[in-house]
Amino acid sequence: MATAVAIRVELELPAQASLWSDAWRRLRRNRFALISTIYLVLLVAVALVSTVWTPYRMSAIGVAQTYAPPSAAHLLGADSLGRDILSRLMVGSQVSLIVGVGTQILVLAVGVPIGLLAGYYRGWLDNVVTFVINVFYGIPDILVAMIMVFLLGPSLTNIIIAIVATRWMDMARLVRGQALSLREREFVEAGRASGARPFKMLFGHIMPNALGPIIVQATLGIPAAILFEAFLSFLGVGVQPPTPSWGSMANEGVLAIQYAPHIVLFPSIALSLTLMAFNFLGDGLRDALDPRSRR
Amino acid sequence: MFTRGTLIYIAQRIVLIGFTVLVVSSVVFLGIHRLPGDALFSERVRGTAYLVLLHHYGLDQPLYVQYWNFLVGVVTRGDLGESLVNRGLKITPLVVRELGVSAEVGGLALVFTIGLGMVLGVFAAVRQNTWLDYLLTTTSVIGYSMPNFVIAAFLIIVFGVWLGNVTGGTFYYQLGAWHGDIGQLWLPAFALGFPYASIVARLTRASMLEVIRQDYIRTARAKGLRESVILVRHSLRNALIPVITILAPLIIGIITGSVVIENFFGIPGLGKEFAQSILNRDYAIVIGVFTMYAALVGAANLLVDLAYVVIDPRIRY
Amino acid sequence: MPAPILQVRNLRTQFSTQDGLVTAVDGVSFDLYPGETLGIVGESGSGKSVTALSILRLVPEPGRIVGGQIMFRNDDLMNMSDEDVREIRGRDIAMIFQDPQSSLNPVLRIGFQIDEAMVAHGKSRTEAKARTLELLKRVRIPAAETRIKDFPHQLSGGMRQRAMIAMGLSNAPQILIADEPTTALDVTVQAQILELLGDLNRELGTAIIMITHNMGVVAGLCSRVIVMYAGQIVEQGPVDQIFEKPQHPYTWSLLRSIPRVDALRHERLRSIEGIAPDLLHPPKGCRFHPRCPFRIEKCYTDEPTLKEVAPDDLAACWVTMDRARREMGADDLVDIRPGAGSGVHKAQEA
Repeated sequence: MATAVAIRVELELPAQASLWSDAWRRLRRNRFALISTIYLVLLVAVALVSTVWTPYRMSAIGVAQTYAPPSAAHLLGADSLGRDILSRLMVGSQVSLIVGVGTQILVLAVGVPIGLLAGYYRGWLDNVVTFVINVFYGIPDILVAMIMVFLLGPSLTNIIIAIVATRWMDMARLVRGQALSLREREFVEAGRASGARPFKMLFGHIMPNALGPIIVQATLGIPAAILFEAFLSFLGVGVQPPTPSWGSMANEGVLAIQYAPHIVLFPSIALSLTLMAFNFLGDGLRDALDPRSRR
Repeated sequence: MFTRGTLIYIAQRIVLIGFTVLVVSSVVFLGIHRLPGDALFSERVRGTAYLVLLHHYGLDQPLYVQYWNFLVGVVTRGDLGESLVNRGLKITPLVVRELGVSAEVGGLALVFTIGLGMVLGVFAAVRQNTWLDYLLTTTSVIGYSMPNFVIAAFLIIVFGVWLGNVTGGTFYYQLGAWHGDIGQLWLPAFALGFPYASIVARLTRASMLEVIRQDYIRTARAKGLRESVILVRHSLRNALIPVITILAPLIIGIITGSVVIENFFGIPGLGKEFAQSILNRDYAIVIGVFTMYAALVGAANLLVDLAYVVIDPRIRY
Repeated sequence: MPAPILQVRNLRTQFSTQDGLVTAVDGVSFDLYPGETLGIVGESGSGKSVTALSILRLVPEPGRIVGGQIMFRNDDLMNMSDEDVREIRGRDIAMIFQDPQSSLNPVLRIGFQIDEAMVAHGKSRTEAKARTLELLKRVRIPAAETRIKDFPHQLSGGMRQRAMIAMGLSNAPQILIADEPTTALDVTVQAQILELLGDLNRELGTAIIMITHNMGVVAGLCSRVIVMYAGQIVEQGPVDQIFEKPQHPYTWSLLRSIPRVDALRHERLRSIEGIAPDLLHPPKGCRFHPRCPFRIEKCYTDEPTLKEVAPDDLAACWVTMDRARREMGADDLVDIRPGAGSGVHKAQEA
């Protein structure tokens, strides 16, 4: 009878250089992405705070003189109805963030499975999906969204649905492309050979490898959605008053642009900064996750 | 260049576009007609007058009959019907005229986008890693992060309010004239195109950087060609290929953006008509404009695919 | 002996990389005579391609020519203006490259690309077109009249290379530099291209500098050969003589490593031991000493210079194969590991 003697070997394992730790390192060095993240964290904080407190009530009319320029009492001035712009801007951030993130969550839920199925199984399923995607691409999204919101009613939910309905194809097309190329790789063959079930193949093997581009697409999809919502609100088919959206605030401000430019300026700046932050972050992620980038 | 295969491809695509337009149009038509509420119903018109109106528009007929008439009208006569709000106003000529206006502004924006974008992109690529290059890559992100109405508002503040240069907040567009006045059009076109100019600039830069490293550029230099010739004839033409790839989404983006810009500036184009009709509940016009847009997008996609054939001889259908 | 048309003296070309300064070409000197075929042979990283590019001042960033003279027709190319060098390129000195697939512009027709070379140097469009047709026939492209309108992707690899040769010769240059023109081609096509180059050399009197890593190519085409290692010339001389009696151990090892058809089955393939030298920190003394079977103490410390070690044969070596054959039994050596012949093994000083 042999007695196994356990020998403890102290191994000095080198630090794991996985794709994610590498990417994280690169991302941290990207100054723009860093600043953007800080800004976005602050923005979320503002949005959260605004759910319980704002300097003035967002729909309170006439708390200041109409068209009042920025002052000590109203840091960003007042709009055409005397409402405090800062308060409305804070609440508006909720709208933008909800739309931005909400649409992308749904886009992921819809686009990723469709893309995976189409790309992995190919055949008639892929043909159908590609055809549908191409048809959707042939329709100008803003027009459809306008009609949809108008028909369904201008609520935040409907806006999100309309945006998702017109932009899900971007994610689906990306994921399909990823699935198409990944399915040729050896690990897929290995998985199939070891009898993995289709669900596991798709979500356990293929999707994790496509995660990088998916994350980038989703991150860049947020500003696109926010922009879309701003367009809709600007055209009058967005969230209805009294809920402020940066887009509708800008719309209201255009009329007074000659003598009270601050009304259009501040929501415009908020929009621009937020979109910029997300874009820089998305760009940074894309560069960080691209194994061929040379920085 | 345009081989028999290509011509067949064009024919196929036109058929496909026509089909898609009809399908899209039908969906909108049927969707809208199922709406509760009534475009025609207003305080002023009641009783027999209302019934007469209903009959005039054929709205008293069953849905499938209406749909059939619509289809036949569109396919055979190109007739998109009549406005529900302004009786007697034929939609097709209205929409065609407005298409011209939108196309003008959009076209100007496109030329500007591609022109400025490519020039800046080439410049940045040729002067890589200098302050100019760095400046461009950063501002381009800012450029496409600003909504076009923000750019428009900003321009109006600078040029209209501070410099007192431009005709106020709305634009007086001469109807009936063959084309608009550049003096008025440049501002909306600039606002419309600027975000995309940034994207084009970035893409051109990246593309040029890759092309410059190619072996055939080295060959061109070894032949003793002038740098300017190498730049334009050899580098630029190859660098254009990826730019054409984004041309289709770019055109669609300009079409989308034009809806906002036209409403902002009061330009009487398709976008303004669309928004107005939705708010007015003039569904006939909504359907008409929508159909026109679908055709426009289809045509734009086809043109882009053909542009590929012109630029890259390796592509043949 | 007529005067040389090209005289390269002490050429030095460096690349500033992230890790430091790499001297790819370190003090290279040679002459080229009218109408001759000169081969430059060496492994990857020996500096042969960079030498060729330096002659026409085509070295890409981050490379720079930092020293030396390139005398062409009594003018130093290094002192000429960019515009003057541009005139010489393609007209008096032409260059063709390794991969004709990537070296030709994919969106322009073949005929146009050849016309271009001539139009850039003063010919009219019509003249150029006529001559292009002639050239394509000269390089033996079948159905030249239709081929002239083709795009590069429509031609086979061999035809593309012929088109490149036509482009190179279009202005009847005095020198044609060919940078590994056959490496990317099939073996049978290789032979055809080499034959073509040889014929053109004889018919037109164009001097050819052939860059290659393949000794067989040199044997087939060239009358003189330069052997490069780690950015320096280690041996140069007439091809027949060098092949028969190489004096530098590197040349000797190279020739020995060519597998022979008549070799016995069980004989091991003979390769040169060791790895290619690190150009960032080249070995002290003779750069080949870490891999040389015949090194002596002096090789570790003193850098040898090119000397005439046999009639017409210049080599940079302290030992030379004559001595290695006499004293170290080089011909009978089976084991050719570093130091195997001389028995000298010193630790490399850090």
